[in-house]
Amino acid sequence: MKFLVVDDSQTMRRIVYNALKGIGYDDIVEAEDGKDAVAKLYVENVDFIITDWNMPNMSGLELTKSVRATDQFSNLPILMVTTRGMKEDVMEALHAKVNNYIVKPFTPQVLKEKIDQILKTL
Amino acid sequence: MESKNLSGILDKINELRALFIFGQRVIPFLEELFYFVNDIVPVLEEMNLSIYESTRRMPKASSQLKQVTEETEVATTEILDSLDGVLSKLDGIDAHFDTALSDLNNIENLDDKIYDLMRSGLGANNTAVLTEINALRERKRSHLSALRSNASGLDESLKEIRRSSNDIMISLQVQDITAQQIASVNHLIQSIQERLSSLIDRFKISGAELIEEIERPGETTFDPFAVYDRSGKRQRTADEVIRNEGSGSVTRASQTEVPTDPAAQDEIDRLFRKGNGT
Repeated sequence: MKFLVVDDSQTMRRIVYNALKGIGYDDIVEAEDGKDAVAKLYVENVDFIITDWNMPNMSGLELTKSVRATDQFSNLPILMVTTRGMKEDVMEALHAKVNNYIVKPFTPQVLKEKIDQILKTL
Repeated sequence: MESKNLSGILDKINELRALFIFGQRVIPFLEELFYFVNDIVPVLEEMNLSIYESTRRMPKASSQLKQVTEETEVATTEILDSLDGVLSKLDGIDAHFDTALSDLNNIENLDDKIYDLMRSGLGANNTAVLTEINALRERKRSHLSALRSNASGLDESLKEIRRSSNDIMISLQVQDITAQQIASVNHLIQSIQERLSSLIDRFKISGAELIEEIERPGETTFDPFAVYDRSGKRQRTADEVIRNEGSGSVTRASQTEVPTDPAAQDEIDRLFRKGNGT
């Protein structure tokens, strides 16, 4: 399974990358923001998107809406990993059709749990 | 002179008298006002200058804050590099460790085989020698057992180091959270600077240089409420919302319009319960 990790913070990309490797996923590509992610989607055979919300150029929320609006990618699972932890934020993300939601800081266990939950529903 | 005219003049004189009395009462107040304005003007000028100076320094403060984000990111990357090194070495040690434990078992098995061969080779005539060999074998076993026990303690320490390394990695997420907080403060500084700059333009302070504008980042979003909270409370809130929304699948999410008013939770719950058969 190929993961696309989208975050403008190099630190966070690295942490998600390490966490994914730790739970047994080795095939990972990275993108710096939503725009970069959309470009990567067309060249990489991505199966799962893990995205931050607050990013320059194109936010995670805009990325989610863009992915859902593109037939080719509309069914891709999207896991939002963000600092935004207000109820309204989660509602907004769900409204944009993310599959699940993680509030930073997170543990690799939580990441695994959410990925498993999403994969179970596919 | 007619009495009507005289009465008119007297009225006017009375009016003048009232005016003088009023003037007498007002003059001290006007004097006070004059002194007050005299005192306040330098204070206002000082305030203007102070606002101007503060506004002039804002771009520097903003750029320094941005630098904090950049430098902490570099430092965090260095820590992550070191942690990766530690974890990779731990993987190596783990592999050697497993081999060493397996070698210990092999030594014990080989000793058993050697003893069996000796016993069958030496026969019943060498009981004394066999007893001594067996005693030595038992002593060796005891040493091997001590080695295994030490190894087990060492293994626990290695696991602890791995747990701590992972813990540090989780804590390093603070860099991203503080970056959000700093971005929020920077945005606030920019807004204040804009307001103050337009105010200064109106004051037209003599000799004042043009205030440098704060460099604006590209179009971006930030979270002004970002907090470093490892209690898991915020995650539980998110999980609760997701559970209540009955989401978890793209299909279900795409079929549902979520009301944005958080107060209408019961209504939302009812809405999602309908499509929550799975």
